[in-house]
Amino acid sequence: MLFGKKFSPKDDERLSHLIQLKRQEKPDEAFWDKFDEEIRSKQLAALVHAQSWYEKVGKLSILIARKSAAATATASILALGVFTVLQTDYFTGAQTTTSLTQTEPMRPAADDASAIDQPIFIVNDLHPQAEANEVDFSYGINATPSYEINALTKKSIPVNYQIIAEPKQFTAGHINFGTDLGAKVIGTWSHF
Amino acid sequence: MAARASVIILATSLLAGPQVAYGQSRGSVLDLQKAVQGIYQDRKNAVVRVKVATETLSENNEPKVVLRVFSGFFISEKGQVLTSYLPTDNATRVWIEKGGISFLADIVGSDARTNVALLQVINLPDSFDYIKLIEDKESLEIGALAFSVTSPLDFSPTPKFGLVTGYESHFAEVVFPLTYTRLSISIGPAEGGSPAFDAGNELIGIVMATLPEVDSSYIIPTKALARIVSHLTQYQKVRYGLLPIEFEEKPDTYNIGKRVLVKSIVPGSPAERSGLQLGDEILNLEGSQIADLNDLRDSIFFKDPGDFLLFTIKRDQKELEFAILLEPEEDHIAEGNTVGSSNN
Amino acid sequence: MSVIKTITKPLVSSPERRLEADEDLVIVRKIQAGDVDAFDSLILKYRERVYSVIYNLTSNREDASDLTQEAFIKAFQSIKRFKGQSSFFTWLYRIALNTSLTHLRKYKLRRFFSFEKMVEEDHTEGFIENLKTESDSDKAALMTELQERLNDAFQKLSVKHRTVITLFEIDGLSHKEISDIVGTSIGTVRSRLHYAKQFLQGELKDYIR
Repeated sequence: MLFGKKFSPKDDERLSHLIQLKRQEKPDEAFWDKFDEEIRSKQLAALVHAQSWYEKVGKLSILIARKSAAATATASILALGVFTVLQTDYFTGAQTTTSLTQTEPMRPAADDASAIDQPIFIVNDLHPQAEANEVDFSYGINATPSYEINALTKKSIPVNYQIIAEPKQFTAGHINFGTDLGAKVIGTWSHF
Repeated sequence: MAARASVIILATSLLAGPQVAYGQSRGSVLDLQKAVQGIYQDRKNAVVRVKVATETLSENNEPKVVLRVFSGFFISEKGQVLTSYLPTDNATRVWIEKGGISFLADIVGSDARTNVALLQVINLPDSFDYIKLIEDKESLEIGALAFSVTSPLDFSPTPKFGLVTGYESHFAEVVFPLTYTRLSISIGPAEGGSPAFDAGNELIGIVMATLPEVDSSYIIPTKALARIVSHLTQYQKVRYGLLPIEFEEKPDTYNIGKRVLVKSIVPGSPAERSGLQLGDEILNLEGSQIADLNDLRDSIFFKDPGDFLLFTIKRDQKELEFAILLEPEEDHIAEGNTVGSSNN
Repeated sequence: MSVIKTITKPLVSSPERRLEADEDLVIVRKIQAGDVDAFDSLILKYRERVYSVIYNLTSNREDASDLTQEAFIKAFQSIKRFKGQSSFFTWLYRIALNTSLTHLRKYKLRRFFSFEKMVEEDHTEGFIENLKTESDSDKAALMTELQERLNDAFQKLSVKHRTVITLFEIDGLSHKEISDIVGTSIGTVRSRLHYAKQFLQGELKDYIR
């Protein structure tokens, strides 16, 4: 339980010096030349191409991060959600939580007068993780959702019901059960 | 809040008054409606959708993403969420959705046996409720009302109600780690992990499986859930214990009840050294009467590995007490120890 | 306003930072007015520092290279929204930090490390002298071992703790600057630093005697 101890200033100093060694972990000239090249072409790309929101997913996350655009942000996340759901066979026209009337592209905010004062990646709360990151992770998921439920059944499930029908096997750690009462019990091991 | 108060008052009148019988005045049916609506309003802000994206390989060894959807609910103001699914070892991203907004979460721990997972939401929603796990919540009688708020498919929180219809420890060959409560609430896709309540709006369990042929479902009772959450929080998994003893169940002399007997003991184990013998009849474990194997299994579920369990047994018309060590399961799994045959 | 550090000198001291911030603002205004090439001077000025932060957080030089570029491009794309309330440097660091955190969260389960080689400079001489070995070749080996142990220990820290210790010890920022960039209170910064140091102390005690 080292954490309760105080360490001496001498130790502290040596630790600092040690960590500062990491300052020496530096890339070489060749690295920076390559870096310059790469970043230049990225800059050019950023300038030249018109970015519609549905093309540049990175942009989408930027737009969603703006606190002032909360309502449209919700709609755009749901737009992605509904899209994937409709791909399942049996799902017919269900409602989502908020009315999703618009799927038109959101306008880029570059010249928007209501742009927030702070740069977009900052949130005014105690967490260092910016709000932008909260939705970054879900838009990239391009898979059909599988609505799961453990099903205990003695029959096979018809295909279009589309639930995961494997019964989950459980053993009671130290006791296993036969199919009729009065069966013997296994003493000791589990299957997990 | 007003809504909750009215639920409790009405629920009490439902329970305390004369049994609600068929043909009762219309007033009782409307009370039931109010109970459903009251519980729904009270609990819907604690229920969330859980989404799990897992990277796996397809048949052609190409990477693909599988997205699974479940229900879940907040259990603390710190933003812990309980749900029912089994995390895998593959790279996984987990998040919850509430009110159409996604919130990233970490997996605190999970238990394969009960299929329960505990999540910690990283940045919390601006407002949410949570549902308290009452550690000593007692089971309900069969026929008691049961309610649920679920997150089916991609719908917003949805109310349900039904009855407590039974208590079982297994379903066909599938054995449960402890006795589960069966409800006549029909559970569908993405509804696993939903909370279930009694008429007093207290949590009675988490939905973990559906029985589609009989429009029913199983819930893991709150008492077990409390232990599971406590372990997941401390150890990231549930620590189960093993007894190096094989038990069997036989009908008693009068063929009315059952007896639980010691069938075999692993040679060289602490249990053997304690003096327990073959044929000893288990009467009692730590103060709980053991009437059948299910009682035994249910009692042991709540015991910690490393504990000494105090058994009261009957041998030759005498009552004796033995303290048997409940061994950590990991010890046995590593050795691949088994006792006896699989079943007969 | 910056906390005086008793142990090591910060890389730049506060009045220099203020001067830097003013100079940067002039350049930013030029870019906002349409002179996009002016952004290059900002890249040149800060690329090593930004790279250093990101590299020390992720411990992977290829990722760090990509993420550094990404951070600059993000800054470039949102430069119009920069109002000058914080210094450009703080703003850029925040973007770099968020970019790293997003990356770390996404690839939490697939971390592999790819470290830079140590550039031998004067300051390391003193340290190497103190390493208790016989020959020079042993010392080089010990240095490598040291680097590995240090990076191991660094990786064991949570991202939150690694962030503050990187910004404090490696980038030489003050507590106040760190709290601005990370977005927590100075008290939180101090306690995270304290915890991180104690943890590293424990991990590296064999090398700090």
